[in-house]
Amino acid sequence: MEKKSVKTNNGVLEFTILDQGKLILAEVTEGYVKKAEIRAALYQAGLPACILEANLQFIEDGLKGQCPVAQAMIIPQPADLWFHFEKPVTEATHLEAVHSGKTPALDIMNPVRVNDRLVSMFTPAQTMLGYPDGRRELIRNREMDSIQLYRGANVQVQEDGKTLYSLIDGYAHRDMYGKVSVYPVDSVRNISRAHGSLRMDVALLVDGDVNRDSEVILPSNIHIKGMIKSATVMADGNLQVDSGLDNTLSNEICKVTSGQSLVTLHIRGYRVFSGGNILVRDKIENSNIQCMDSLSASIIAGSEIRVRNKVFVNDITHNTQIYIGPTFTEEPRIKEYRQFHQQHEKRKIDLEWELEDARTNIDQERQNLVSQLARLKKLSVSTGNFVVINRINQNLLQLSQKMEDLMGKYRQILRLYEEEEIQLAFYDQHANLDMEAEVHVLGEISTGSSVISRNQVMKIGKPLRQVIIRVDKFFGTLQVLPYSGN
Amino acid sequence: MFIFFLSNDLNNMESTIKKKVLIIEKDTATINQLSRLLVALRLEPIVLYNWSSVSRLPMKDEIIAVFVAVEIQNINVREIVDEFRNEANPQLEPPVFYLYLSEFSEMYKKAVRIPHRGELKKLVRLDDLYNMLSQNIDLAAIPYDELTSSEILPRYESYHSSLQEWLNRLAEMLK
Repeated sequence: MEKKSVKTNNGVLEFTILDQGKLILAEVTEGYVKKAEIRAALYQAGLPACILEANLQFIEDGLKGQCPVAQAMIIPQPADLWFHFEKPVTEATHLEAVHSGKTPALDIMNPVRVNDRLVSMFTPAQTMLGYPDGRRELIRNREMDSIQLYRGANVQVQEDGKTLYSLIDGYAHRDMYGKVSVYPVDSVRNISRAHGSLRMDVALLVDGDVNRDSEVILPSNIHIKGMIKSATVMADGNLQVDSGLDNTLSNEICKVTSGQSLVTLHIRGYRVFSGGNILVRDKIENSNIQCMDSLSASIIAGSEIRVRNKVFVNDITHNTQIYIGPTFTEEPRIKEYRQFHQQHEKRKIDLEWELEDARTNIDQERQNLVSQLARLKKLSVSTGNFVVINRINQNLLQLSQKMEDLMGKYRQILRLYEEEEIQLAFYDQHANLDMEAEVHVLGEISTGSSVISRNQVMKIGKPLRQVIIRVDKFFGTLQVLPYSGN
Repeated sequence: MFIFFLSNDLNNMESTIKKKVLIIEKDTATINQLSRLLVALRLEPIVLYNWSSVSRLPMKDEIIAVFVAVEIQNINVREIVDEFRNEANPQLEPPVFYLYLSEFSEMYKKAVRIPHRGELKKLVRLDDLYNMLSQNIDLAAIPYDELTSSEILPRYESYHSSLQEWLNRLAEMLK
């Protein structure tokens, strides 16, 4: 047993490390502590992972004595994959866009040819035991065919079982759960209201504009050489709009979503969601943006921006609100997905009970039958005894069949449940990367704008020039640092 | 001969893993404190506010340890200890631990003469509780719930195949 004491702002916390680091108890020995302080103290004591969030509240509420605050947990780990068709969007790519005001040399359409290698798997999905000190111990490799989980439309698994390749020429993309698809490319001149709601299984190249009141919903990438004007565009893959997004009619129904990255010239009056990065060469104005990775723009004015990772911007003006950090962004379908997963878990547990019930019934009937057979030995054999034995035998056959059916159902639900678990682990791994959320202001953030983190609202009273506003990972507060200019 | 053969393998499936801990206590603060640690150790606390229903307790066979607050009014500690005694196989007997407030109380003095495995003074320190449990129970053998799902199916598959064999033997006998 090891003990560690950590001094916080208003008290002292004592951690007791039990069970070879698998269980951590905490006790306030002096003063009082808040939840954020416990997290920070755990980090300071070298125990940053597997925190029992629900128990932190008890300590904040003044619980006397010790309380478990972290414990070893089973963690599903997705397969380790490399996506060959993707060019990573890095911090340098964003900075280049902000500095130069030009689109970086980035082709987010990901063109691929038939037989091109799309994904390589280095290690399959695994079950790990995570420790509070951050260590991970392999429990087992998942028996499932891991690579199949990432196979989308027009993609095939190679014989080695570790590679995915394309079956057609087209544009490739992956969704937030890691599934890779390739769709053939179709092109149109313009899209207008006359096209109705455009839903096709293709990637699309639009030479002109997507005009007002039209709707385009595709499972792939879209490249629009013109503009999106008060229209709704939803792409499961990447979206490139060369001349910008302009909601000229201020139509509130209009929105633009891209499952992955979005590259455009400007965004005006739009609701936008991006599952990846957003690169805007010019201005974001009067818009509502949610970005699951990083965002860069020359100017952000009068907008509400929610960004998970980093913001790179020259100027922030006109009462813009920037919500920064993983708390403020969520893939729109994730709640639904998690609900499905919970339902499947419930069904799995119900089936476990039903199986146990069936087994108990079978054991009882077997016992009955054995007693009946024993009686046969003692008594003279009568037809009545055989009738009872045959009835029990029939019951047993039915129960055996029932158990077989239940096992079949259980096998199906278990497979589904484990697949979902791995897909959700892929989402969590990419959505909760251990990142330092920051706002890089290369120019000025003006009075009236605000930056909001998990535990702090920073209203800008006087303009700040060339600063980095960083979110403290454990306290959730904001720190202002001078911009170093690299 | 056949009957012996058929009755011999009636319980060929492993019994459920023991992970239930019985707490006979009225003080909610102590119950909550104990439960927090037990849950963290992957155990399942069951709380009783009095002892009269112990003999009718469902899943009694799955109880791995018992905590008794010996200072509860009208409690018969000996009866509880006897209830969980397994003279045929003492190794399977769940350890009984006492919870008490004062070593000077009459009830404690009376209870302490009855064989038990350990005592904890309230307010319970969880590291003492952990040490006491780890000396009496193999805590490492308690499985993680997330891992048991993959083990359930093979257990039923093997049970079902042995059932099929059993039914075939029965069919032959009934001929």
